[in-house]
Amino acid sequence: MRLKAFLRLLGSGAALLLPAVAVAEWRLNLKPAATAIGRDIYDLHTLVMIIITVIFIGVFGFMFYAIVKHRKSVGHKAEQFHESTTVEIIWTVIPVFILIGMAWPATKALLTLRDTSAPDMTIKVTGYQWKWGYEYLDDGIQFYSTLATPREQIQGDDEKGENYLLEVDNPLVVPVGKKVRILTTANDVLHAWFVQELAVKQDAIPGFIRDTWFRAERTGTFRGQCAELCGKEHGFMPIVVKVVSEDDYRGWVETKKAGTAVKAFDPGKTYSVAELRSTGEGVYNTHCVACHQTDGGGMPPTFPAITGGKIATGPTTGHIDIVVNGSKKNPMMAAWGPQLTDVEIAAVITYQRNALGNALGDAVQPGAIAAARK
Amino acid sequence: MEAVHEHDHGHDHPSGIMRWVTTTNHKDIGTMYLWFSFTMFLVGGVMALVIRAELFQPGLQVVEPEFFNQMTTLHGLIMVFGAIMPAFVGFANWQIPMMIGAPDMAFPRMNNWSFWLLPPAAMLLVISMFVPGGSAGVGWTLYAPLTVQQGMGMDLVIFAVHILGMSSIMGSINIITTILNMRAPGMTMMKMPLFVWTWLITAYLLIAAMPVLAGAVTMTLTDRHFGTNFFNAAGGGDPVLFQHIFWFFGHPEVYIIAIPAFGVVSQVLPAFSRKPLFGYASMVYATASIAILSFLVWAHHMYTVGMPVEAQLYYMFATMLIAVPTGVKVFNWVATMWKGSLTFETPMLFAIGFLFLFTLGGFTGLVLSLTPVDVQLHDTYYVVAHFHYVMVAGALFSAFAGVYFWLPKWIGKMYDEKLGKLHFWLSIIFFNVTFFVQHFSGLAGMPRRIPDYALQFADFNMISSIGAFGFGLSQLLFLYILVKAIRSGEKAPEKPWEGADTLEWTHLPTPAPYHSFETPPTVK
Amino acid sequence: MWTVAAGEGAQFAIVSRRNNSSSQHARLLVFGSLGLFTLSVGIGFALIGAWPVMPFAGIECVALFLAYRWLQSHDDDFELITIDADHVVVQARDGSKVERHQLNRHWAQVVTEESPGGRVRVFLRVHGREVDFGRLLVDDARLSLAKRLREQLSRPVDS
Repeated sequence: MRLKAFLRLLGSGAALLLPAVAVAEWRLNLKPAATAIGRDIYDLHTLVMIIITVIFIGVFGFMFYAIVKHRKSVGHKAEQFHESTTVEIIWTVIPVFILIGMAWPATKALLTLRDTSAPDMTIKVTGYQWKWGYEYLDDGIQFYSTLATPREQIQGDDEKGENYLLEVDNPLVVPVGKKVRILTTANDVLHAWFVQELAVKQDAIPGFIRDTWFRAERTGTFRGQCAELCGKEHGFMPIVVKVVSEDDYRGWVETKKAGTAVKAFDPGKTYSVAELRSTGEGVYNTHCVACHQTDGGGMPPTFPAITGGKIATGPTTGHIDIVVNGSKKNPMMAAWGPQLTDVEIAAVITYQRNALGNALGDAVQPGAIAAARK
Repeated sequence: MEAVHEHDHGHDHPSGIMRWVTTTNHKDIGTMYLWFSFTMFLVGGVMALVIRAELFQPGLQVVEPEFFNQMTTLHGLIMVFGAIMPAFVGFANWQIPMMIGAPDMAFPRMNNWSFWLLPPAAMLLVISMFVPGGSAGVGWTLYAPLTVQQGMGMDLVIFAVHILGMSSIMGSINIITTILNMRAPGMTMMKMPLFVWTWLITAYLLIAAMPVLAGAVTMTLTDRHFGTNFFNAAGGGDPVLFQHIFWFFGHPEVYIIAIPAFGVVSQVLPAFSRKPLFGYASMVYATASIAILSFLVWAHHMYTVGMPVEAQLYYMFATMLIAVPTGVKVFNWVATMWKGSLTFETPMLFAIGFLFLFTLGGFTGLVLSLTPVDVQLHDTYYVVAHFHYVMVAGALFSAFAGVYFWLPKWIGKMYDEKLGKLHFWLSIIFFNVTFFVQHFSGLAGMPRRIPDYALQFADFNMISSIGAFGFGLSQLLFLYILVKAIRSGEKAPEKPWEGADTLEWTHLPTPAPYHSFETPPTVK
Repeated sequence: MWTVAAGEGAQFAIVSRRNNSSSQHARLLVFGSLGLFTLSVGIGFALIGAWPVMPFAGIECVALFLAYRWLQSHDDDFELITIDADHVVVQARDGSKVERHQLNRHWAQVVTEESPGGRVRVFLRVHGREVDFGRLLVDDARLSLAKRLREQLSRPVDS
């Protein structure tokens, strides 16, 4: 414990010495962690940095001394020694002890890091191309979280905001001080759920469930990103975790549940083209725009155009089929059936057929989607 | 009587393109390997500059994200398989026969084939960019199941990897046989120059690791086209299996690149210290232990896939253990310089640059070996910085040292020492400008392989991009130095480096004759 | 590959042999351990379901075996050229193939030719019959051997 306190002091001392470089843009070290295990890792890193700095200075002190003093131009004559078993043994054995010294705290930290037992709550995180799906297994809440940064900022047509690329529409909300167990999996390819301040990085693997955990010690917003290459929008699927007080969390759960209830639709109702189109625009901009682009032009040949597209302007059955079941020919087109509701799919199909330069005038009703799922 | 065409001294061999296509001479083939490698180095370098240009500022300015991913993939594959590995095979071809007193390689015709497999493979990699859907955008690690989503470019990349593997295996069998069976009388194993030793060990690693890579990409291919489910979870496969297979090859591959670099440095440092290599035997043993350990630590690239904690502990301890033999090597090199009579010609400068920066890369490797720390740094720019210290400041600087060191022996002419030193200083400064700051981006949590990034990473990325362009341009100076030396270099003295004591310097004229040793030298 | 010993005088003999620096033991150790390691890696991966590593491991073992067998069978390669009063005799062993050619000394000519592949071919020609020699030598050594033979053949028989 004493060593830890000392290391922390060293860490903060370094930060004080360099006030100018300690601002966000010039951060030279790991971000200060919001979890106990995160601080252990921070200290472990500091410890190793101190050890390697000392060794580095020692070894290269010798080298630079030789470079200055043992050069031919100052008339140094080469000695011809080239062997010493004693020396070899010394510099084999000493590093072993140094390594054992490092392995000890590392092992302790690792055992804590991987102990996911006895969680207070469990959240299943699913990686999709390219968004995160969150499912609160205890509270029965389920939603998707996608990048909220507008395309205009990315393309440079608009001023970039403070949290450029690190903002989402629906952040993950968790209570402070609770052990949150995260189950990760993926729908399509590998992703990795990474939030540095919570000391969490866990690969999300399709077909498998892995777990990790964190217990946030302070409230706040923590931002991370997908850390495993998952295709073209890999850099555009951030993670935002809002740690709130227990009360705020309860309140959030209530509103979230109410919100989900409102969204439930009436299967008997027939929606108008305009209604569907306005809902569909939102769905399109969240889920489709990355590949098919804001103007529906796509990026042929991998991502075909919606505008005047063969399927988008063809019979509705074909259009519904490809959105619900994905493409058999082109693996980049995911099956959206499991991810979106009937209304959302109906809306986005109607939007595609009546906007983005298409004007077929037909409305696809949620009932048709429900039928197509069977 | 028939007139007999007779040439007594140094007959002329066929010239023109046919000489190079049909040659079985180890020096010709070595030269081709080296030029091929340099060409690929420039191609891969341009790709790196595309990456750095896009990352100069936040936002998407230069390329689309898919193309960005293809650039990172091809940059990695081309630099590893097209630039660094062939460079050291080139050194092996030139130097091993000369250093062990052999006339040529053991299987000269196979040597020719192993070189000529490379250009078609490189063509496949380059062509893959122009097929519909573009090249593979999956990273050089080719992780499943993203590979299944790729277009035809992925298949071309797989074929290219197969061909490169075939070439490596033929080359390795040739090198092993040469070293075993063609040493001059008196050249016992423990008298071989360390460069030869490192290649013997490298060839061993290559032969042991290559079938695994071939199997991995074959499974990727059958998963893509023939309905197998090795890595497809929906069909009962396991995506993580690919990573185990890939890194079982991939970690030894790291040492396949690094170990010959150790060899070159172990020749250059003693030559310019005018002092024998310190701890020769322990260097041999350390290299061999690194090679053996390299097959036992592969999953340290996979700390975040969710292995059982016992496995993570094992891989952490085994990985930390590599620091011991690596440390022995670094200490031995410093001890070689200690109390020598040092001069600082370009080869020595690059060797010292190697020693200094490779060790730095080794230290960050030690940081990454600790699983809990790696969980924070895995797949961030910290890792990118770490392996570029090992690959660029390690392997590439060592290759530069080797070229400057042996160029006089190869072509009989000297390079321009002033320009060589300038090349060194530009390279080392811009290298650090490019990659040192990436440690900070990584510590702050910037993931690798992203085409756009949050504003907090902007300053370091801009510095890094400036450094990368400086580094890239400095390499054109290297090309100029080479061309100048070949066309109008001063005639090299018989023994340009006072302290060099291996056979090629002591027993062969400068430049080395077309065939190395007509009669074997006797090694005392 | 280039041990050359020569006897002078009426009975001229010159022999070339390989310089094999590896013992039988070392070869078995190196090639055997490589093959074993590769195979066990292949089997290991096959056991966890990744059987496609196996065929490549197999192909590689075949390649290793071929290299090993080549070394073994060419250990005792030699080439012996003797010249007496009337004959030039070229005896050679190349792997399992043993050849003996006896030529009339007085009609024998030494010819050197350069093939497009960059290799220099040297042979003895008698009445249109061609016998190659110098197979174990590198080009330059082969040319100097041709030169020595030519000198030897042009000497008066009795000297």
